[in-house]
Amino acid sequence: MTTPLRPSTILGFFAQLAILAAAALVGNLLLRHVDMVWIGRFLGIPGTLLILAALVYSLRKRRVVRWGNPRTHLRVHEILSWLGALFVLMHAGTDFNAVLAWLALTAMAVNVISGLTGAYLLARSRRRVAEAQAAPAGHRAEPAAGDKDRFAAALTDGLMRQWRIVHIPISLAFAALALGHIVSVLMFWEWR
Amino acid sequence: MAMSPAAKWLLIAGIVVTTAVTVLFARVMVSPGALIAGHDDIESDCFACHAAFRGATTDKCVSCHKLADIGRLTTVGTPVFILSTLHPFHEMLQERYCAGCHSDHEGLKIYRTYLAFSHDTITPRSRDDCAACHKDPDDPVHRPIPETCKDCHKVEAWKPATFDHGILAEADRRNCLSCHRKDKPNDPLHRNVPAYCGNCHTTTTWKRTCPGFCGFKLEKTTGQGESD
Repeated sequence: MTTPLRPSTILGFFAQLAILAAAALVGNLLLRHVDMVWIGRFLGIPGTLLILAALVYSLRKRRVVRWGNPRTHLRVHEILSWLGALFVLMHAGTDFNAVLAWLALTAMAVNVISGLTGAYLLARSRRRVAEAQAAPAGHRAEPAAGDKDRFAAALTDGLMRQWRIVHIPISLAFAALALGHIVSVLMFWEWR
Repeated sequence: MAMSPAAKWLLIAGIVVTTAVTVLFARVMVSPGALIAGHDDIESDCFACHAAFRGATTDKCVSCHKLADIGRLTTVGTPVFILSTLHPFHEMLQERYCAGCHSDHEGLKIYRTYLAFSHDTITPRSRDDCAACHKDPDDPVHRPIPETCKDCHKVEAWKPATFDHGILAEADRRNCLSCHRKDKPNDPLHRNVPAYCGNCHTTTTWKRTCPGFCGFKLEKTTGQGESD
């Protein structure tokens, strides 16, 4: 059974991207307007910390972390990633030179797009699972499950599994480029 | 972890290639903008100025730019003719921290204003020795005055300045027109008075009653403002 993408889903996807880009642009212009561009230089730090904090969801999913509801972790992951990406975009808007930093930024942008895609694919998988569960007992492939199980089933849905194969290398590439950028900054930073 | 072996190798290869390119082409990969024209020849050698994880240290700068020569001689010993560096004050600095005022990278200029000289950065002794950097003005006002610039001027700006006529020698103080020739009003009253203005005016105010000469209330006679 295939679940078609709704127009509202596609619109929501692009709206989230547009809001992120607009917020970064407004934040950057604001910093320039109040002549405090130097703040943007340091926004990379909270941005990175927020993105690192968002990784707790990945640890929860792999049961390295065992506390908290996975669905709540996923919501927190989405919010922290969005905020982290916003700070990093504002940080990036103050310096246009080093290519390594641009590569890291590009990887982050691809990661954000991939993450948002994953969020909408998960929503679709959850609908699929819910529809399958709502089918008459004789037509169900599996016995009815609780909400927590439905969420777990949606995460392991075929489409989500395929998405993860793409998302994880993208995330690792972003991590490697971001780490390279951070090491290069620390190596040449004026510590006064 | 849900990663195919091909993706793993692609990722590892990507990291290795990016690291190699970063090391080989550091200027393009990590430099925050072009260097100043004088440093063209060390543009690709980051560690000519930077010490790893310590930044651009003053020791590295002064290994080429001798403090005593800054503003006088270039690093290869030729005289400096650029007007903005004609005051060789770097030896007088209280703290030797080159990056506090200078940045070679174009991209860093957005974060702060560099080269903003302040007299607060030089030692108090140097601050009192104005003539070490500044030439005495050669004009009728300054010629009779001893070298005590800060009695009238502030280090932040040449003007506004205050002036106490008491610092002049008696003969200079009585010779008002040596400085105020242009200030003498060209009206019938002043055309016929002797040169010594102090008969009617003081050094702190132009307008006052002059019982010694004509008995006029001077504020009615001219449009001259307060004078110091």
